[in-house]
Amino acid sequence: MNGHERERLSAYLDGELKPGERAEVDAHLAVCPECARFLAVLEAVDDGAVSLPTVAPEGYFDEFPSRVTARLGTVRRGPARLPRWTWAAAAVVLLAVVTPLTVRQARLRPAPAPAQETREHPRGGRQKDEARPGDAVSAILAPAAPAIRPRSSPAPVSGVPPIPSKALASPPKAEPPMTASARREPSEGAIPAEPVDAGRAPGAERGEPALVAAAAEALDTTRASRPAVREEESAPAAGSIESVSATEARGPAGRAVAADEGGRTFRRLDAIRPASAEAWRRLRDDWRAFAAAHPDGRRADEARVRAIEAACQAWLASGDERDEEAFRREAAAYLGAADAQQKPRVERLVATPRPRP
Amino acid sequence: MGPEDSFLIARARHGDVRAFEEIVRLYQRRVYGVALRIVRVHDVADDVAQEAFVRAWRSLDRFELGRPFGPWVCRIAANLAVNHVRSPRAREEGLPEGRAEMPAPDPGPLAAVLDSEARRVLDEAVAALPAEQRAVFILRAVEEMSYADIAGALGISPGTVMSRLFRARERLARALAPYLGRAAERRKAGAS
Repeated sequence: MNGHERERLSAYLDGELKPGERAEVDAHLAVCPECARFLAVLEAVDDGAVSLPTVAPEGYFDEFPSRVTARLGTVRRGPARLPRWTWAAAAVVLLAVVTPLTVRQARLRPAPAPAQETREHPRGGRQKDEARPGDAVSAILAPAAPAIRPRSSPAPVSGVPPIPSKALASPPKAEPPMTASARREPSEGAIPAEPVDAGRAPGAERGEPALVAAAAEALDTTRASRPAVREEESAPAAGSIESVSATEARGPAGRAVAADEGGRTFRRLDAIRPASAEAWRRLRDDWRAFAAAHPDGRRADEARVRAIEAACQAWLASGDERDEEAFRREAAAYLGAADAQQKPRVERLVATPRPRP
Repeated sequence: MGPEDSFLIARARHGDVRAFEEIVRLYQRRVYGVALRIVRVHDVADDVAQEAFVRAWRSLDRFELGRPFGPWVCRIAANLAVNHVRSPRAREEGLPEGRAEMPAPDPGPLAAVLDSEARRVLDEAVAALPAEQRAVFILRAVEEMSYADIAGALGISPGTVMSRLFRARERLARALAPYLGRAAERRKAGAS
């Protein structure tokens, strides 16, 4: 097995080879002790990394959650998810505030301006205002206050580029800076080249038989000890009803929901009439949570179907293919469930034609 | 992700900060661990972990219930950590010497046969990896993410994941080679 094929051993170890490739490697390993030992070494490296745990300062994890949530007050969730009418309303309010101020200031302009003027606040009441009239606008349009920082920081710095869209479905446009980054500079375009030979141990050449032989003797690790498919890779499909149901009511919150047998919650959800795709998504999630909290209740099947209906409505309202994907995945999971009681109803939903763009 | 997690996330998506705080409590060690293994400095790892959760909160609407939350937020943390390590200043400052904040390990297959010196060498070898290789290696070996997930998190192709991972493992294997041999001798001596 040459060096190029050795690379396949790493993927083989991870269960990432296609069946045909895997069979080839299996056949080779059966006749090549050196490669079998090298595989054991690779596995040993992984085990060694796992055995180097991380430990934070004492008490760090006691305070960490509250430090995170302290920052959430300054972070708006779901960017660009506000209904359009809110922007129109904001514009109207803005005009209502700015226009009188501008007129008033024009009238006052000939008179010498006091150091601090007390004027009537647009919302009633009075407040001190050291700013010029135009600042009323800039105050509204100004960026949100920086996130609360639990630790002292010299100055905010935009040191971390945004996460690629693949990692975050909606990458934030104006990120609050990272605290530690305040000590560092921006990192744009700073992808380092990977030196091929840097860091190699002296005398350790590729394919050194002594290495693999020693490793094989030192370790009792075998290929069979590592599952080819990891647990998380076999996680339920996203949006699967089954994946969120089961015994969701076990948790404290779940018990609270279960306490009324779902009657009140069901009626509350049943009364909701969403007016936007986002509202349909929320309702979809609520029905999912309800079904999960009452997996054995008499309303569970209905809640499942309601979740699918809401998912369908979200898609129809938005035209977003992600909504469609979520809807179809959820419907497929339901139709594949042995205990589904309303398959015709869901099948009709699945047959819904795509909305026109 | 357990059913309780799904419920907490569903509540958090509706703005329940307390529910999200509970989520943070559940995943903080894992997220912090990913960050620290990549950036190698507690203060930076702390910032990365915080930022990862804040961004997760901001994007909860796009997170689909039923999917595992841990890998999702860990991917965010890993990406932030890699971006930090890529920054010119971070590269100038370099990584801390020695084991720094990586303390004694739990017993494991390798820990059972390696002495503390070998662990230090492994730790340093991990630190000496190029940031991209280290991130890929940590996400696979420790977080056990699939190549596709790693590729998505770091914005690279699965083929690049495969090659970086192999290079990282190969380097670490070479660094550990002398200690693996010594451990084998000790085992032989103990057996005889």
